Amino acid sequence: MLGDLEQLVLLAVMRTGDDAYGVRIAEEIATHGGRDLTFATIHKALERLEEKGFVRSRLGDPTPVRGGRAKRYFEITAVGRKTLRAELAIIRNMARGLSLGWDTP
Amino acid sequence: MTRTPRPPVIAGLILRFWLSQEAQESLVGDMREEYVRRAGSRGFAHAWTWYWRETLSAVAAFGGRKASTERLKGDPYVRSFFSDLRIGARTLFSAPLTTTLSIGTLALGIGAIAAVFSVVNPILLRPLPYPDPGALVFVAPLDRNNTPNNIGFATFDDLRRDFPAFRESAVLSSWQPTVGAGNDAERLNGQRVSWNFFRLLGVRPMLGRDFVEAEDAPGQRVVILGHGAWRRHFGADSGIVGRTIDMDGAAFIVAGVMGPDFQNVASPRSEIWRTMSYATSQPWACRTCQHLRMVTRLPDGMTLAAADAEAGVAGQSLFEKFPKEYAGPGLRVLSLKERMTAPFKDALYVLFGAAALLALIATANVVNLQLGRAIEREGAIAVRLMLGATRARVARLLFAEGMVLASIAGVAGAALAWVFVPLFASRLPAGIPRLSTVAVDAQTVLLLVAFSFLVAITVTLAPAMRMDAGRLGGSMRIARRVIGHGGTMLRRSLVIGEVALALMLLAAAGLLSRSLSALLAVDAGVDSANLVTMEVQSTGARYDTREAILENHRQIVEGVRAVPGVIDAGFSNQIPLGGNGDSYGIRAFDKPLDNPNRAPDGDRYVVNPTYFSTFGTRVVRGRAFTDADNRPDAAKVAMVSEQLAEALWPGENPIGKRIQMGERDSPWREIVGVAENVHHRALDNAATSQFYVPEHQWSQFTDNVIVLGVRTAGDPMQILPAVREVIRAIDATQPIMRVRPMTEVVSTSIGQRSLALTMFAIFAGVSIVLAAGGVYGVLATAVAARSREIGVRSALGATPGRLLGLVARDSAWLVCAGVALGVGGVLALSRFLTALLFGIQPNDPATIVAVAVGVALAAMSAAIVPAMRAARTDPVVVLRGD
Repeated sequence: MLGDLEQLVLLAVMRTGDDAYGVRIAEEIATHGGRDLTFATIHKALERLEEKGFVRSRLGDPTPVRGGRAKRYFEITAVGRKTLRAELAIIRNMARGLSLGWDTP
Repeated sequence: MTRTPRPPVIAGLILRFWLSQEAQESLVGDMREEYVRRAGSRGFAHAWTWYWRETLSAVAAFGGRKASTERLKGDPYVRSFFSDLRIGARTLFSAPLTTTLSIGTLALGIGAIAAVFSVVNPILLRPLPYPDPGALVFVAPLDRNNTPNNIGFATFDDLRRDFPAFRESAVLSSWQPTVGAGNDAERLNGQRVSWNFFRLLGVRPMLGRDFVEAEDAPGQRVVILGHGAWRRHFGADSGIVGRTIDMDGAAFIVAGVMGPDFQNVASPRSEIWRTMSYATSQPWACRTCQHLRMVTRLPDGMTLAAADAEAGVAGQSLFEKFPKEYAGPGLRVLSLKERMTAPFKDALYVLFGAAALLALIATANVVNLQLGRAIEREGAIAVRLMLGATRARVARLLFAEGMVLASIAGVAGAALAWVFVPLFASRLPAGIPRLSTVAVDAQTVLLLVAFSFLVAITVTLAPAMRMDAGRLGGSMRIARRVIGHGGTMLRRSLVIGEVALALMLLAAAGLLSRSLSALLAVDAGVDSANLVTMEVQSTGARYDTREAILENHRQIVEGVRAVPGVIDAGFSNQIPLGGNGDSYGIRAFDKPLDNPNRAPDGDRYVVNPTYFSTFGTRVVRGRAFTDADNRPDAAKVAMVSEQLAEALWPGENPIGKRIQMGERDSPWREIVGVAENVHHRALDNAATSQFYVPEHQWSQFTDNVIVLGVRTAGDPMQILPAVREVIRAIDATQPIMRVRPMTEVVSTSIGQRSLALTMFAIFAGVSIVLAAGGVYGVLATAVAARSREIGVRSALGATPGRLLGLVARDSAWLVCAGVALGVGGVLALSRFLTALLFGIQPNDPATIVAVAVGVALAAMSAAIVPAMRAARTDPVVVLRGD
């Protein structure tokens, strides 16, 4: 099972593709998910995802703007992709047929 | 290379400290990148706030979880010490209650000591704020009681001319000009000083120039303004220099303005100075006109002792030349600093001692708490030792824990001090020199750091000393069954010490509070209830004749007495308990003296006839003045105080005797009445002698400032507006100044003591709570540790009453030992309080017994909860635990 936050982060990793590191991931979540998460929250989620084997990471080159620190790039694994798909399918299935009452609170 | 904005340094340090290398690399890198972007697009302030939010979030999420030691490069010892600190912090916060209690307790102790130190340090310890302050001295002739006295101008003139040690000297007298008019009028505290006074101190005006010698001649009216008066009355106008200002109906040229940091220790409240402008030919410049203070800067290299010896020679030679002009040959040199601080020294040192006692109690309490925890953790420590950690390594870990504890408490204590010092300083008597410099400063912080370090060592030492691999191995084997036995002796001794120290503080508070009530019970010679006093000055051209002033005074009294609610109104030239040095030698017609300077002194009270009924000074013999006396052509009369009557005519009836005051050509006056003694200096000083003369008969000079007293039926402050209106209706321009209820005058005169009492009461209150907490802690652990034993006893048929007794006996032993030790401490140390006590002996048995009983009760009540717990022990529950 994936947490709500983990789904969000995983989706953001997928959407950002080759450029999936903290700043871009946060940006993606902010623009498309409308949620302003702190980096610590995102990294925490990524750490959990990596422990579960849903993402893998590699270090990039250090850059001066980061105070000489390297970027950590994330990439979704096959397992991660499968789990995410399954989770989203569940949501879709559960939501199907509710469309009539969808807009009325 | 373009400059990139740097995120907050402190946040960076926090991140470095709390986050693992791994988390730092990617997370902090991301944060930084985003910071730069946000600073560019949304401004620095936004980025700054954002970065801090991120930092806190990062610490919350990752902080302290990874005990990685590699990330701090450098010395391995330092590295592991930092990691120790972190481990220490974590261990501490795993026991939040004990830790919070410890920190709170320590913060109180540290705060108290820091607060008192930041007051004591600038006032007593730091050198005076002048170049070569050690060379500054007072020179004072000794009066007939061999106490240092003021000096006459002629004597000063001889000394500076004939004796090389006193070449660089100045004299000072007090001077209180009124600036402004009507509602804005203020009577300033000021001084007349020799032209070289500032030069002698080694200070210069901030604006304008210093006095020059020519300005010290008679008739010169030149002033230098203090910074405060300059800002209040002249709007900080730098163009004031060289201009002329009007004060008391005369024109003064402003020569300069002193800077805000000028501290005039010889008269802390002065904020305006004019030149002395005396000449030896003037009648008030005589040898016996002792109303000046003389300050000297000793020549380079001359010691105080050498100067004092030279003063002795000078005094002898002057006395031989003018045997009738001096009370004796005594002439002393006194260190300026010591003389200035002498009145407050005892009180401040005693307060410092009290704060130190409190800090000691707090430390003992914390050691106690931490020791309790150390015993609980004995197993964990044993494991470390078993696994091969050296004792030193474990001790360092404990020390790091102590450091964390002490630093947090130190910061909290400093914050406490920072909040309370200004409060404390504002309650100190205003006459204390250098009061304005009281603040929590670098030296205080240094003391705090040193003290915190000591506390860390103390808190660590006790548990560390108990480490013994063999014994701890034992404690590991039998697990936690026997906790509470080890360290018991030490913990008990600590509690005994705490009880003893708390008792000492309470005894001091008790003695001070009894002194204060004894003081308030002193008959000041004035009835201060429902009495308000104010100074009214007849100033301006319309008062250039004596008659005009006297008529003004008469109208004021008449008008004010007619105000509804006013019972009586009367005035004098000075306020009772004001401590003005306006005194005259009194000679009795029938008791001529060889040396007139050995005649007793009397405070000069020039009064109107209603003075006595208004101020409530009782006439104990004869009669008060009447309107018939208050005429220039009436028979010359006077009244004296009981003490003066006794000094002049012991055992005789003074009514009808004749006296003369001041100059030998002044008139002889017949005594018509004797008034009760007035504590003119302060309530706690012995009563001084007074003489009274009707205003219209005092023709030497006219007092244009009077202290008007208004006695009312109800609250005098309510009637005040009506009184002001009446006075203004007579002359709207005459200043009404220093309006104070008489009760305030009285409380100011005992300010130092009541402050000391307040501080002691606070310290003692805190200390008794801490001591009771200590008793509770030790007994609670003891009961918990003995729960098995108590359970067995209960199972074997011990009644709750007996179990209660078991614990109560235990605590009674602690408390009795503490009380005994404390009483011993009080008897040994209370003599240091002597200077602050009044009407009570430092070892007053009643106070000590009452305090001992109180402490015993308070400490015993702390034992109730553990005792009840023991009594309610259910043997089944306890024994099932096995």
